[in-house]
Amino acid sequence: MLLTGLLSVLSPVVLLTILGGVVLGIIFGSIPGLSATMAVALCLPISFGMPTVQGVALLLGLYIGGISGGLISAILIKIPGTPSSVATLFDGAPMAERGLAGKALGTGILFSFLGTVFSVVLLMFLSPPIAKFALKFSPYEYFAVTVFSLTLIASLSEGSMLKGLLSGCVGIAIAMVGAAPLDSFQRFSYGHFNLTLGFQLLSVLIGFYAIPEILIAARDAAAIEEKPIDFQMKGFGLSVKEFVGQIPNALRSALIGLGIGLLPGIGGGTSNLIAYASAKKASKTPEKFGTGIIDGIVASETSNNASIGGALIPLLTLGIPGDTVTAMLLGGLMMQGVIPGPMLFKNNGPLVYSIFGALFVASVMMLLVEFGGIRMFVRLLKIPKNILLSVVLCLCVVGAIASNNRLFDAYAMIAFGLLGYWLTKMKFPLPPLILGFILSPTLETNLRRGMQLSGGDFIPFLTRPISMVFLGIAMISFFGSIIHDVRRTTMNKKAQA
Amino acid sequence: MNKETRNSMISGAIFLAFGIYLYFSGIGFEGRMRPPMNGDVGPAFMPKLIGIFIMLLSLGLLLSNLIPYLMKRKAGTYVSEPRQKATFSVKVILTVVLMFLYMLLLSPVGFILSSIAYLFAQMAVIEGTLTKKKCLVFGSISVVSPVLIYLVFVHVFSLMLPAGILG
Repeated sequence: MLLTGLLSVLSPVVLLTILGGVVLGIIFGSIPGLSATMAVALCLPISFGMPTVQGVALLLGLYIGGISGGLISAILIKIPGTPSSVATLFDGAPMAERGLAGKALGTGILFSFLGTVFSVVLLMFLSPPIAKFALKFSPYEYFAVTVFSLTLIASLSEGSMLKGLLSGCVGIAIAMVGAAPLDSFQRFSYGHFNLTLGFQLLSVLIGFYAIPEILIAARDAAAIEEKPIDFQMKGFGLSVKEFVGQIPNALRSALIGLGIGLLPGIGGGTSNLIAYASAKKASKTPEKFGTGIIDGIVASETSNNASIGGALIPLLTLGIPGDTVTAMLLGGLMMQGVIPGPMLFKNNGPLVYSIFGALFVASVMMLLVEFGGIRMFVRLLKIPKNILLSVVLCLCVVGAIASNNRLFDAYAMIAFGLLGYWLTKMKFPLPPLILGFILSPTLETNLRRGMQLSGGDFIPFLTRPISMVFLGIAMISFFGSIIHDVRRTTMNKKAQA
Repeated sequence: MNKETRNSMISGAIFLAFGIYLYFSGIGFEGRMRPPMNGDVGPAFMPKLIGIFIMLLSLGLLLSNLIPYLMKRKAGTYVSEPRQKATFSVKVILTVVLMFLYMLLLSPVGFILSSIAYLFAQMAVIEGTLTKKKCLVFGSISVVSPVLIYLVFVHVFSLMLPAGILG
């Protein structure tokens, strides 16, 4: 069964389809404003006309390429191509500025590959027990995990902790616009039809990252110098010693990515930030994070790709999609007559192995295509910023409109861009805002669901074992960060005196 | 008062106002919504909670900058920095204006024409001085890229982009 499944992926037609999917996914992932979700959505109708294995392989190729492709623009133009690559830019962009774009890209690509392979191997061998564990999560546990993720805002707050926390709260508040979870009560929509649907993650993300980049380019136009470009790289640009040194970081990040990917509603957009914050906390030299070290890229890229396998576990074993991409994959599978769920492994054994095979092949192709393209990608830096960023803005407008087929999202993108520019000028960190925005609906939904389940009693949030552990770690992590921040500020003051 | 302290205080005050607004909006929702049932905290709870957090944090930001400033002034150790004139980059303002115009024209004029105009103007604004050669380069990129983007997304991926007067 295993062999039949894997062999069906190795036919030339399927291989070419996966290659096409990966290339298109990388293009969509790397262009700010276009995302993996969009690539899968646009190619879904094409997959319907294909035989089952080929159709599913196309969608998986798009998914893997799309998630990984975001690192290219995050490193080279400081705009994350997808929500999954926000944390990649923290260290990737400073490395590119120092002329180490090749090394940054090489590291990101290699660990994207390793993250995917790690999660696919676990998906193959441990799906049923992992899915069973994930099923134990009730609203109490989801709430606790979300609170835990939010406390990492403290670690993502460069400079001022107060500003970081404020930024996170603003992100949560922005996500409140529109219909409230559970009862769809309208908040902050002021009778405006478009506001009743709330804001799209894509217009928030590209607004906060792409627009300020253009405004900064306009402000510093005279000071823009041609950047040194690193072409002298061997292999992936990092030494064996550096690679070995990153193994604990990569393993931790892969487990975070897998764990977060498992949980519906959270996914790759969050896992990269959480893995980055955890790597920073665990590091002996946390102050170096953000200055351009490979640790940050390794954490972000390993975790976001590991989320792919994580998200596929509940999808394949329980039929539960964790995010929009897996929801579309579910649709694609069902249109092909495949019903994911506990019986899938029994009824469609060869197809399940074809899926695993397609994931492996797509990962290898992603590695080859991106590695082969490094020299071409790095040339992006040679394009004058005024040309590059202006064209990127047009693509962002297309992406914003396409995400929901309405012009309002493009307007919102510009508005968020201006807010982002002001916040950057006032030295507010933006990553907490993005994390707050992504997690806000999950936080509120599970708090309200949990309170309904317990009849208005908050105690079960604190007494359920998994929930208690996560809330405990959240408190320790949060207050630990505050104490660390206070100590650092006092030491700085003493040093100044 | 140095620039960073002033910026922190201004942003703290703005966020304090935002927090108050959020909190009272939450109270306003309570008047409109059905009373929550089965122990649900209701849709007004989160805006109020986040409003309180924002108020506390912004007060913290305000006070952590204001108190040291006032103490230094009282002790006479405060050295005032030469007040810098607020600088506004003309290019930034022009870029913002261009973005607004682009958004305004997108629906009536259509994606292709508004993008051509925006791209050319944006490239020229950041560049500053225009030579004949640059005009030619910017002009051709401004025309080719929107047309290409439109053709690919509308005809290959069947997306709806505003066609405007060309439609």
